[in-house]
Amino acid sequence: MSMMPISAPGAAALLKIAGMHLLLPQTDIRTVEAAADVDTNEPLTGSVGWISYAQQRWPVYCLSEDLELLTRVPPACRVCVLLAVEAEYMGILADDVSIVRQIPQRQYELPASMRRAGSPVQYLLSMDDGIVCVSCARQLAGYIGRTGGVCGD
Amino acid sequence: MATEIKRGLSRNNAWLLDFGRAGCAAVGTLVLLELIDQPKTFVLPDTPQYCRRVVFWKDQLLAVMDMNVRLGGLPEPPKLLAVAGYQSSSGGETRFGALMLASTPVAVSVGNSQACALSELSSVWQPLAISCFEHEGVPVPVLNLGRIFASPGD
Repeated sequence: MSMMPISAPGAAALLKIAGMHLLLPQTDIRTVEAAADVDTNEPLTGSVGWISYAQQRWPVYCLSEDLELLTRVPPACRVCVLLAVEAEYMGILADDVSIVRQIPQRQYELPASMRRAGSPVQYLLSMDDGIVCVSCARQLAGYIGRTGGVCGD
Repeated sequence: MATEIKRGLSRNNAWLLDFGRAGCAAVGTLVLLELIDQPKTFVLPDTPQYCRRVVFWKDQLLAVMDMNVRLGGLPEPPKLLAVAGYQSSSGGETRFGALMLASTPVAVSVGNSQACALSELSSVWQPLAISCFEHEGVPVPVLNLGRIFASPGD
């Protein structure tokens, strides 16, 4: 069941994952499904199940608010955001997802003392009295691949 | 709530910073710029345990360094921050960072006769100190902020 077609140009998707907010380009997102639609049978290493899209199934990952791969899905995860990574796809579970059309212009670098090699966080934004981490599907897939998931580069 | 650091005590040339169980360290009086009481901080993902939070200060986003955790202690919510200016380890422009404190800094006067060897510090402090001096019978590290706020891999 498709919950929300995301097609507005110039927009971004804001994923809420516990206390963390992750902003991804709208163009990286194919569809948003209900987390209940994830098939949890025989998941790939590091993933929590599969989501069907374009006559195939794609791995679904569950991240903590600290960007750790979780193998048990927290009850708050309600949606599965399907991301396009080159010619493939992967699902990311989130508590909630919303479309952001007014993206703040001011970007903040992650301070040097906080930067870890391979972090998927490109930069930070101040939005709605909080901090938003900005990433993209390709970097997220690479990060998941390096931290124990089977996807991306 | 932010408090400007007063520089009226000309005889004093260092601030003693209390990191709680990790002990005390010092910085020069010109290094400390402001205290932020009950700061509003934000936790960021995939960051070192000792530097998980950021704080807004003068339209900049500063790393919040928890020296207590860096030296082996357990994390606690920040109650008091000291904003410090420093030069990055590669030199260049002044940068800023925030240090979590357990109590308000104390101004002290330090003379050359109080200098002591870095080797008198515990091994955990040595890589984080630029020099050290003896104060009330105890060696006190002078923080190397350029190194402390450098990238984890540097």
